[in-house]
Amino acid sequence: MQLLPELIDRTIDYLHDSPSALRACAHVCRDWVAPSRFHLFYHCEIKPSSTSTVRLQTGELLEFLRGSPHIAFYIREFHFSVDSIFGMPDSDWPQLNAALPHLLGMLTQLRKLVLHGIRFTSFAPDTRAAFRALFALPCLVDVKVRHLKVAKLEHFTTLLCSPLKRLSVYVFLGEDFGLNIRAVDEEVKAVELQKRPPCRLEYLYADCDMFVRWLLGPQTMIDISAVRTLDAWCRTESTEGLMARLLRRLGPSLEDLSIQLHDIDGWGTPFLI
Amino acid sequence: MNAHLDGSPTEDTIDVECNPNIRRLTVRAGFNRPLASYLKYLLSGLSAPNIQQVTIWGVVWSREDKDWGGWSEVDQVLDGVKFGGLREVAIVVYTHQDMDFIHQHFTDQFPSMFDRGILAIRKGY
Repeated sequence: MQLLPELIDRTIDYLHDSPSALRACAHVCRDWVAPSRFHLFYHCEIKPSSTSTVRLQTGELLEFLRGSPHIAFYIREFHFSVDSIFGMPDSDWPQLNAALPHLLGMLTQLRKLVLHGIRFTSFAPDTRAAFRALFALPCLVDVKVRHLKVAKLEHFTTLLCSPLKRLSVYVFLGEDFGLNIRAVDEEVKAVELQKRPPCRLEYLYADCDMFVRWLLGPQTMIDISAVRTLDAWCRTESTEGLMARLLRRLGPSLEDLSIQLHDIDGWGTPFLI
Repeated sequence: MNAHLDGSPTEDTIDVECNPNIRRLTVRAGFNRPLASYLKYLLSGLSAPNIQQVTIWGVVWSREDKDWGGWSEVDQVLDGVKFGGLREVAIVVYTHQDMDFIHQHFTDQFPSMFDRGILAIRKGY
């Protein structure tokens, strides 16, 4: 008896959070392989731990995908973090820079990219080019960056491309004074000359003054007139002031608003109206 | 939140007067009188006929803390005509305290929302 494909999809979708069940399903028959792999490889994460480094995980994933390149088409979410208490030894960077361009180049079906603790200016030119290509994928609609370190804000903002619909920018921890600032400046100039259409965001999370101030400035890279959902995290009084301006700018497009107010322990003066 | 020394709002205080199409509004902070006063200000300035859900997330440190009252005025604002379409007012509480006590406290503070059957009081994770 042959099951309808919709029924197979429904059954396997139900098991989306059970890797062991999905692995078993992938062995049932040929028709069950693709829908099982869709969930098994949908989300892929590289994150330092006490037992494995970013360099090792990157190398292992690259080796695996080179052996089974068709698996890369199933990867829709990629989380890449180099920020942790374990740190990353300087000696790991050359190997990471050698592997990353090849790995990133295989992720052609990505919908969501999460970057944590990236020092963009410090990457080798090929790695930066691979990241630019990743951000330019027509299918990439969701980007989340946390503790990104850049020498200049435009080193990050010029990565953003028009298909993007959801953007989350967490704290910029600090500046990255890598040796490549001038080289990245040249790359930024080349991007700016392309005169790309702006990203028309529907979702925005922001909690840092530098980015929101830029967003409200004369920039033309991000169009916020269609933002329907805003997560406004006000870590400081100045962030709240910027968010107040942002809300006025968003106007009638906004449907869903979350506000995190700062200094919840320190409030002493009642807010009188 | 940003306020003048006398407690009045400044131009750097978040308001939603320019956002008439808000359907869901969530505010995360500590439950205290300044927040209740601020929410009264925020909601009073909102004219969004389609608003369906208001959620307030906060922390309650101690049941002896007398500073986490003052919410009945927020309840009065939410009971106004312009909030007629509300489907839920959710209070999400982060606390180690007894939830029964907290539940009763907020039920007493939001009598109109409770009577309309749209008050939901939950424990945060």
